[in-house]
Amino acid sequence: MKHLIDIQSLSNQEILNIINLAKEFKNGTKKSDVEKKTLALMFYENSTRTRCSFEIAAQKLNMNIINFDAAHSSLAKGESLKDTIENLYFLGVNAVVIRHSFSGIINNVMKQVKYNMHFVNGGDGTHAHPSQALLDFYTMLEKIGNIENKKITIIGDVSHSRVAKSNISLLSKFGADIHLCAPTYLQFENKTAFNVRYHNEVQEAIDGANVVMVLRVQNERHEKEGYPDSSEYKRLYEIDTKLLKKYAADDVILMHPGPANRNIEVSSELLDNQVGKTILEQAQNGVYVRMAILNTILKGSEG
Amino acid sequence: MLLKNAKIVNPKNNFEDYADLRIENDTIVAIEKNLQPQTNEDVIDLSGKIIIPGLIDMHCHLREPGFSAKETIKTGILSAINGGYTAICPMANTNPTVDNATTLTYCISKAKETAKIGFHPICAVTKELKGEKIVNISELISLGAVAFSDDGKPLENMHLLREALKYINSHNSLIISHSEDSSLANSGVINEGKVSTLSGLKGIPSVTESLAVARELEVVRATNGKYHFAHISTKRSVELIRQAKKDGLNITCETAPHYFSLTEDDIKDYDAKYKVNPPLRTREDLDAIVEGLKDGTIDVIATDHAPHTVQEKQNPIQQAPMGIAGFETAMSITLNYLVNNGKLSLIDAVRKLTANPARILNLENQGDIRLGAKANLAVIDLEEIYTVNASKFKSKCRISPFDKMELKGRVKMTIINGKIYNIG
Repeated sequence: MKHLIDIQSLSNQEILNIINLAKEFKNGTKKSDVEKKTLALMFYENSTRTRCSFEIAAQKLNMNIINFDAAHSSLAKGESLKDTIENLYFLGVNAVVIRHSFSGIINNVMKQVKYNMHFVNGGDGTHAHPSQALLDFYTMLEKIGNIENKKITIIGDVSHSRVAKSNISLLSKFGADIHLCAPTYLQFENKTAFNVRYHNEVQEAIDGANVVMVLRVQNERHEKEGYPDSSEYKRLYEIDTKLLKKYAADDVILMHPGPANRNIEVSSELLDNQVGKTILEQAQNGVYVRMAILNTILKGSEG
Repeated sequence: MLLKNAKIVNPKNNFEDYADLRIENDTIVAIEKNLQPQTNEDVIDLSGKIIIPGLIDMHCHLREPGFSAKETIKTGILSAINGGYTAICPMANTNPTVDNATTLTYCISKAKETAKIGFHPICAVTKELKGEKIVNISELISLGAVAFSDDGKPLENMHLLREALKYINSHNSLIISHSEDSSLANSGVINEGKVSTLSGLKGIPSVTESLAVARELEVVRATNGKYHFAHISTKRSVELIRQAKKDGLNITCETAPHYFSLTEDDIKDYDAKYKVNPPLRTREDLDAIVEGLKDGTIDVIATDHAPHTVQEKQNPIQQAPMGIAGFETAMSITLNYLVNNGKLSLIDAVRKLTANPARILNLENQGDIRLGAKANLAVIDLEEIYTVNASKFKSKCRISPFDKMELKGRVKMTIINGKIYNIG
C-alpha cells in the first residue's frame, strides 16, 4: 500500500491492518517507522479537524511537516498541481495529503506525476474521504466489536457527502446493513450505485439502528433555488435524544464527521450529553488511524 | 489513372461489386470490369480493398479563427483527409463567430489554400450564438453556407427558433440543432448515473437532451420545417425522433462514433479525454443508438470533431473542455462497432457517412460514385488490423479515447477531385 486514494482500492486485510496498527499506536505499543520523513499538507479547501489530525499524527510519528499555504501557493499563480507536487518531491517531500474541491483530482494527478510521491486523499470533492471512513470504522469496532449485520443509518446530505460514500464502501465490505435517510434533493442521483436501503422517514430509518451517523447539512445548499430552507430539514430530520431513545437500539452510537450544525441536523442537547461524546472520541481516534495510514504507506519507502 | 481490382461500394445506387475505375483529371470517366490501362496511364492495384464515396462530415469544429492552438483550418482539413473525408462542414462557434460574410469568406479562402476538400461551412443561426438576432441568411447562403446552427449552445428561445426555422426553410436551407436544456445540464461533467454518483462528478441527466428534442419537435411540427438534430446520444431522443418521423415530420438526425462505441463505464481515472457534450451515456442508450442506426431513425454518422490542446485535456476533468477529435478514427470505429460485429451492413454504414449527409445538405459532387462526377473517393482495407496512435494524428488534438485501441479496417487513401492522398 503506497497511497490512500479511496476505499474501493483497499482489500479487507489492508483495512484491518490499518485498524490494528492504529490500536497499537493508541495503546502506545508501537513506535514510528517513518521518523524524519517529510509530509506536506496541501489543503485547497477549508478544514480544521482533518488538517490538525494529520498534523498531530505526523508529529507523533516524528515526521517533518510542511503546512502548504494553498491560498498563496503557485497554484494560485497558475502552476499545475502536477508541477507543484513534482517540485515538492525534489524538495524532499515523501508524501502529500491533498484536500480539494474537485472529485478525482488525486486520481488524475497521480497518473501525471513521474516520481515516487505517496498520495493521501484528505477529501476530494464529493468523491471520497477514506481516512474519515477508516476512523469511523475504528470507532465503531471499538464501541460495538463488529459491524456484520449491524444496522448503520446515515442521515442527511448523502448526495454531496464524500464521508457517506467512503463509509458506505467500507461498511459494505464488512457486511453492515446500511440505511440512508435524506430528503429527495439530497439523495444520490443514482439509486443503484450503492447497495443500501433508502428511507424517507427518519423514524423508520433509525428503527433498531446500532449506529446513527449524522451528516452536516450545508446551509449554503439550502439557500439555492430548488431547495426548501433548512428549517424544513430540521423539522423532518433533526436527531435528538427522544428520537434515539424511542427508536434506535439501546446501545446506539451517534457519529458525526463534524463540524456539526447544532439544532439543525442534531440537537445541541444530544451533542453535549454522554451519547454525543462519541463524536469527540471519533476525532481522537482519527489521530491514531492517520498515524497508521502514514506509517503504512511510508514504511520502507526510500528517502 | 486507373484504380484496379477493388470492390466498389456505392450506397447512392446500392452498387456493391468488383469494378475498375478510371479517373481523368478530376472526373470519373469509366466504371467497368476489366478496364485495360491506356498508354502511360498510372495504374493502382487495389486488390483486397474497397472504394467508397469520400466520407462527408456534416459536423466538425476547426477552431479557426480564434482558437488556433486547438486546431486550424489547415490542420483540421489534413486531419479530415487522413480520415477519408472529402467534404466537411465546420460549425460556426469560432471567434469571431461565422455569422457574417467576412468571416465566412475568410474560412473558405483559408480552406482553399490547403486542399480542394469540399468545404461547406455551417453558419450561426444567431449573431455571436447569443440566441437573439438572426444572421443574414440569404447573403450567407449565397457565399456558401449549407446550413445554420448555434452548435455548442442550444437555442432555447422558442419564439426565435420558430421564426428562424420558417425563414431559413424559405431559403431551402435547414437548422441543425444542438439539443440541450441548459438548466438541466447545470454545469455537469459526465452523464448522470451510476458513474457520476460513484465518482462524485456532477451529472448531466439524459433528459437534458430529450427534453430539448421534444420541445423542438413541436416547433418543427407547427412550422412544417426541415430540421436536423446533431449528436443524438440518448435512448429517449431516438424514440422521440422515430415517432416524429412516423408522423411525417421533415427531420433527420445524426450521432457520433463515440455514442455507439463508448459508455460512461469507459471513463477511467477522471481522464478528460472522455469528456464530451453530450456526455458518454449508458449501455442502454448505446444499444438504442445502434437500433436507431439500424432502423433508419438515425440518418448520419458525423464526427463532432471537437479538438482541444493536450494541455487543456490534461486539466482536472472539471476544468477541461468538452470534445473528442473524431476525423481520424470515425471510419474504423464505425467498422468495428457497427459492421464487423454484424449490426449494420457495410453499405448501410457507408451510406450514413456519405450519401445521406450529401442528400440532407444537397452537396454536389459528393457522396456518389458515378460517371461524370468528380472523383471524391476513399479507399478502405477492411482486413487490416492496426493500433490507433493518437500521437500521430494530423489534428493538433493528439489525445483520444480511442488511443491504443486495436481496430480492424483502415482508411488507406483519400481521393479529392482526382488527387490521391495516401494514408496509413
